[in-house]
Amino acid sequence: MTLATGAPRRRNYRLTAATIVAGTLIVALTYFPLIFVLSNSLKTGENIATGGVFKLFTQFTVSNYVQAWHGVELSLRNTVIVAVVAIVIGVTAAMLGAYAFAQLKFRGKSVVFMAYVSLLMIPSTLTIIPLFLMMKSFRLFDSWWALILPYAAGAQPLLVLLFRGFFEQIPNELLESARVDGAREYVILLRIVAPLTRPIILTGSILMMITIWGDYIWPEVVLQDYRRYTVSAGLQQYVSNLGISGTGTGSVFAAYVITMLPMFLLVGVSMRYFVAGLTEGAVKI
Amino acid sequence: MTRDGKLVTLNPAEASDSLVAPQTHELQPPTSAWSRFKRMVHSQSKSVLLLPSLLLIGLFSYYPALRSLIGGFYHWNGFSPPTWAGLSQFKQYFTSSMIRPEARNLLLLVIGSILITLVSQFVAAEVVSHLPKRPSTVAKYLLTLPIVLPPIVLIDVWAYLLNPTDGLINQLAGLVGLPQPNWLTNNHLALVSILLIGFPWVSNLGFLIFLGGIQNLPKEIMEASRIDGVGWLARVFHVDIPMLMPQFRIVVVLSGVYAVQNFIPILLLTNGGPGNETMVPALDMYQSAFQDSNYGYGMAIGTALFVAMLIFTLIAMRLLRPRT
Repeated sequence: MTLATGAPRRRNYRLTAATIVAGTLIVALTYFPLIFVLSNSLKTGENIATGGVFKLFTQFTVSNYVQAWHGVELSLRNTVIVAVVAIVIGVTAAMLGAYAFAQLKFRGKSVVFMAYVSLLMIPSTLTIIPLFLMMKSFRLFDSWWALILPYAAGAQPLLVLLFRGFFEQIPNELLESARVDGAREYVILLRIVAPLTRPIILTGSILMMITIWGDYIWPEVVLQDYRRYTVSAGLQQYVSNLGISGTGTGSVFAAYVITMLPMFLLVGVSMRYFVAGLTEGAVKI
Repeated sequence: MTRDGKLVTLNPAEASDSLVAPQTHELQPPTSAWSRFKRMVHSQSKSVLLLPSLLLIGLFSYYPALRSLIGGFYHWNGFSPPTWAGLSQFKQYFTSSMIRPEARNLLLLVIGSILITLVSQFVAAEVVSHLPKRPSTVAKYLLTLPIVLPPIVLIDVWAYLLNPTDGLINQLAGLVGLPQPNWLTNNHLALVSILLIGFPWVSNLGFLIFLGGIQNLPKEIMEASRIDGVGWLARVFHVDIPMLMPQFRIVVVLSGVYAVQNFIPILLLTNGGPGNETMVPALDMYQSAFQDSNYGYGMAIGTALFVAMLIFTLIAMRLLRPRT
């Protein structure tokens, strides 16, 4: 043993050095467009056009941000309203559903469960036409409900699967003793199950937030009045009005930063839960 | 079931006593029709918990999917009532001049993005898993964070980077004396440019799936291969990859399905051009419906695409089936 340790250890050391270089490179390549955006958002339009792409952080002006804020402020506010309502509806429904799948016995359970799993295979893009026609006939066209309800529904398959995996792990004796004490199922869910599975519920909410934040096409299709646009559609509206080259360039980049920052902060703060929830969830699904 | 039924007959005060004196309740079982009815409702009421979720997916997922399947068989411009079209719209699509370029582009995009995704995300996961503990966690968090990026920002920024005159890519190419093409308007490069968006393609769920898989590999096998002096490359190919087949399967299906439906970069950057060089079925579907008000035809394309995707998923699942 003692004889053999020398060589492999040196090799491990080299391997570690190589992975550190490779890891740094991967992170740098992933972040370079963001660094580029941040740098340009602090430059004036002329400076971006003439300064060349390699001169990062040569100028620091905040005027772009003032201008960009006025451009995207409304769509940010709209997104918060739409997302909060959609998440409350979607996460509540998914929690109830997942609890039923995880802890209760009922007839046809496996069939209904398959109905959820197979939905993961139907991409939302393929239903935009019928959903659009449906919103028109429901008179929900050009309203926020046309966003909220499909977002809440679209999240169900993934959230129900994700939550179920975690709800199943709660020891049955805990729930049984509450039932013996006369607690109703929704009380058990609210008082016992939810507090124990807070990380995955948070992860589910963040996943919905990312989807709603990043969705461009559906608001564009189902809303007519651009003052109701959520952030991705609103951002594109702002960018195409200004054009990415020209004197407005700086504020376009500032608008990118403004629309990315809240999500980076939200997920950055809850990173540990989020990553743990996603990796454990991926294993359980 | 009987336990639930019994609970109905207890009021909360009695219920809390039931632990102390359970026998008293055994003596008064509910016998009347009314209480039997209440018991039935209550035992059913548990599955009522599923109702909100079922209502949502029924109304906003299954109903539109069904309507889309039926819609392909009708002509409809959105104003006058739909008229029966039979298979004519499917025939029209499969004999149109678009079908060849669309099928070719779709195939290239799906294969390209699956390969890109598998290689980049698996390599990144291997690298991160081999890092020392702390840097590994930091790298994992840093590479997960950009998942939150709105796709629209990524698309816009890449359009800017691919800009032929002062975009970063061409300035770099100029420095080392490579040609500086018009990426998005060049016949041969437009599709490649679409695939290039998001380079190095690491920040995605697939990365976390692979990383989770690698970190959960049985410790004994890792230990055994280390003692046997298996090199890291041999270990990756002979241990990690065969043992991570379930993960590969999920990532192949996820990225394939995503590539089929994701027409937003094409819509915003080339709108199918130059010519039909980047045209894909999903964009054709979108344009038919929302630019030409040809909803029936759009839904016919959507149905064809759905069937194609189903076949792809089944094949992928079969090919990557774990061998037992």
